[in-house]
Amino acid sequence: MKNNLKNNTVKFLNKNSRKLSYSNSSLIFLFTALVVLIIIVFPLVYIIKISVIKDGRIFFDGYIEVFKDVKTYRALKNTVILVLGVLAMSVPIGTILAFIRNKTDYKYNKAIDYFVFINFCIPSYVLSVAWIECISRGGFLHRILKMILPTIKYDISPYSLTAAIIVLSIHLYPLVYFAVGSGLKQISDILEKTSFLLGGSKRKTILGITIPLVYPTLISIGFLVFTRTIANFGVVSNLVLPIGTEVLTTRIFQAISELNLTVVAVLSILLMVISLAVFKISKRVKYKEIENTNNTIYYYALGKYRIGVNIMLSIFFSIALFIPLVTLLISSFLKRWGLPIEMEYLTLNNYKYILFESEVTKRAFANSIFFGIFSATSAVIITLFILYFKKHNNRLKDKLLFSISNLPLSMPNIVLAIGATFAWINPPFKLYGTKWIIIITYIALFIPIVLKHASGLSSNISLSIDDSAKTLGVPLIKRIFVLYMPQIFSGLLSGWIICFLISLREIPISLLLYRKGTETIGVMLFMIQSNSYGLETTSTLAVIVIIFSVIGNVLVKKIVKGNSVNERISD
Amino acid sequence: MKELVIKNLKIEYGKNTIINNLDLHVKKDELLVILGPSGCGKSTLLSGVSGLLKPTNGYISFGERIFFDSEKKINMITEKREIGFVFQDYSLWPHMTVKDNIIYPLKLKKIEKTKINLILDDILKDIELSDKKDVYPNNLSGGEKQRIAIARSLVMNPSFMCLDEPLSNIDPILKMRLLKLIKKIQIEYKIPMIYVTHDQHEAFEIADRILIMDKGEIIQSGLPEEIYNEPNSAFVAKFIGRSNIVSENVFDRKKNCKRLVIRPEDIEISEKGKYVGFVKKKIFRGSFVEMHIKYNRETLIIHVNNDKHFVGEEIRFNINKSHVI
Ligand SMILES: Nc1ncnc2c1ncn2[C@@H]1O[C@H](COP(=O)(O)OP(=O)(O)O)[C@@H](O)[C@H]1O
Ligand SMILES: [Mg+2]
Repeated sequence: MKNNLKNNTVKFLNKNSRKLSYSNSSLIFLFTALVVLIIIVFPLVYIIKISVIKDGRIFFDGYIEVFKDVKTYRALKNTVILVLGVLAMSVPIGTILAFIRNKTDYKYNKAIDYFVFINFCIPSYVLSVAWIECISRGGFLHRILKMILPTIKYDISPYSLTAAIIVLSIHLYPLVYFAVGSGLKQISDILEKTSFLLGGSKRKTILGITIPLVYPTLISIGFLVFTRTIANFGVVSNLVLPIGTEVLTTRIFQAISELNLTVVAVLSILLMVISLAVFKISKRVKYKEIENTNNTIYYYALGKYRIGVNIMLSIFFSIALFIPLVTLLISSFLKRWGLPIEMEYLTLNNYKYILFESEVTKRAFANSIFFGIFSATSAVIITLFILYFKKHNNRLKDKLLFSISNLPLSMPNIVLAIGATFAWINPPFKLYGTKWIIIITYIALFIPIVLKHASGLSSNISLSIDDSAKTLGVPLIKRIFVLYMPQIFSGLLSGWIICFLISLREIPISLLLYRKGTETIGVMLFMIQSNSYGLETTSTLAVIVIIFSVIGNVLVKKIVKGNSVNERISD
Repeated sequence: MKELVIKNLKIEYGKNTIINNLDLHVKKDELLVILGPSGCGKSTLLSGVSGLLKPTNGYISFGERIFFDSEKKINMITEKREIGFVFQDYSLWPHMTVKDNIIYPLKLKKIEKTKINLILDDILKDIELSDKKDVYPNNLSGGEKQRIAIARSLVMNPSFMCLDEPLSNIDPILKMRLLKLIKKIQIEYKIPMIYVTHDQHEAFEIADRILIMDKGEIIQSGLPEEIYNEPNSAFVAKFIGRSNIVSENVFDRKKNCKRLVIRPEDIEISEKGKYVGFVKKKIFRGSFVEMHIKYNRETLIIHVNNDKHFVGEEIRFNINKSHVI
């Protein structure tokens, strides 16, 4: 009996001998590294190459041209104004709402959560469409004013930098709200009580203790808002480009249409460098750990301010949420945008058209869903390998792979798309014009997102689990997929869903890389209006996208409960 | 007189009554220790005193100042009560340096800068932390944090201080040092203190007077010796030190069954002892040996210094001191 056991063990160990498992490990690492190199590093290198090499010679004319061009500075200046404006609006709004929600005895605090959450689910481009429908001549605001004052002269333009600032702030304040909220929840009640005991009034305590305790959160979320804003393309192209004002992303887009590739490359590098710098600085922000040792939170009594808070919140959510939603909804049922809102002009045809009749939109749905599933799944697998190696081997090359994989997170989507264009336009790797160029760019975009969702869970796993499996002779592939993956599964899954959702609304990448046949929903959102359909079809598509987005995000919330993803992704 | 007076205090959490009909006096310059098991309502009591929690009923005053009076509907806000309060969890503000933490109350009072610095230097010397002025709390040990917290409440010049298990998170050796420091501060600053703890060793080390609390009520109040030697109930006897609690008629059949508290060190083994029992169990406890002696139907615990008896041996013993409860 004992002999028998011994024989079996020897056989088992032989079959999975260390040597074999070692070479397996190298193979999988090599594969992962190669994928990351090809889809992330290669396009980036190409941008740099295009910016400095022409006809086989190094030249810096591109840089000189860009930095001599007054348009560059104008775009930079507008970008700065945009960023500062969005910061100045979204950070206070998010902070005040988070404070009311988490630190006061406000009765309807759950409602704030829901409203902010829905706001978070609305893609920024869609918000900008709603904005146009509200503000433009013949829009809803105009009509209401006309009802009240029939003789009014309406000359408010929906297009301006301010408009983009407002729309982006409404889109980005939820990020501030979530982050500051979770920071505020970390504050132990005794920190505030101590201030009262030492003679501090409520006002002094709020301004001197409570809010300063979340300064680090505010700073790091401010950086995130910063990078999101300079990376934005959809809103600025919708609200700012029409009046000829340019920011960096639209400047790049213009340069593409001028076919000035060197300039495109240089501008992309400029944008990338700014993004990356901000991203790196934000990582430098040192947190002074606040820990809630006794798990109780102090709630300020609103008292006489209750009514004021109610009024303020009603106005805010009307503007940020209900008016845009209602606007889109009404428009989606109109036969033609601009018609009066009367029974005879309402119809379900827009939905019928988009969901069942139009070949292009049907194809766009199919494409987006396929690209999303394929890219998200691939990203999850690659991420799984990257995380496994980082966790269990943690050699220099594992760390390097991990850092490189995180790069796309700090890169505007439009830069990723330009890199892909440059890298895959020439034979032998001519992917440009096929669906694969969109797919691999999505994968590059998704890997760091999945990483973000799963790495928290991974760091909680004990190393001894894998070691003990090794001593039992469990082969690498099994250790990865059977032992490691289940432990970070909820992270991978929520990351997967988020990526899938992004592919249902993503604009800059698909807009730059699509050809007839590979349109996505994002492309349709952007283009459908100019394809001889009006805003009513855009609105219909927008409503559908919002519904998808809310459902998906609710799922993610359910899955993520328990494991902490401290940074949410939006576009 | 600068005395804290509490009368008829009742505190409830929803429907649960935590403190019921409690009367309490803290005399001038007194260090009163409230000793009781976890969950008996010590923290709740201090919250009520400091105004962090509104009592349902009762009266609290310090000297002339009435903090709370349910009949006259007086409830002074916490900010005005000027109570130095030290929490178990340090409650230092992590975003401020040691210096900024300590001078916060001074800045609130708009005291001028030069004076603030003088006070700061003085207090830092008193708590023996002059070199940590510009450090952030996260880089301090538990003992250091707690000293800062004490200093911070002292600079406010409080009318009295409440310390809620201030040393529970601190290791035993350091604890003794800090207890001495607290006592020293209390004497130097002449501040009445309520010191709350569940640890009897702390209580005996520091108390002028001890108050035993259980389930929101005061069970006994007295000098430390009184509490130890003359516990008024089985609860106190068991909570303070080790004790044998036996019925009187175990030793004397004629008497009825009042209960006796006998401390382990008050039983003496002696060849001419009055009572006969046998050794059931022996436990080596370092400085002494704990013996369990079977006598009639009871098991008595004895602390002895020598270990010459063996398990099963018959021994004789006397009871030197006992206390009827
Ligand atoms: N915020 C609260 N809400 C409801 N019950 C509480 C709360 N805080 C404490 N209690 C209850 O009050 C009782 C006394 O608690 P506490 O004063 O903290 O005890 P101690 O400080 O003596 O350990 C406990 O039974 C506890 O469960
Ligand atoms: Mg307590």
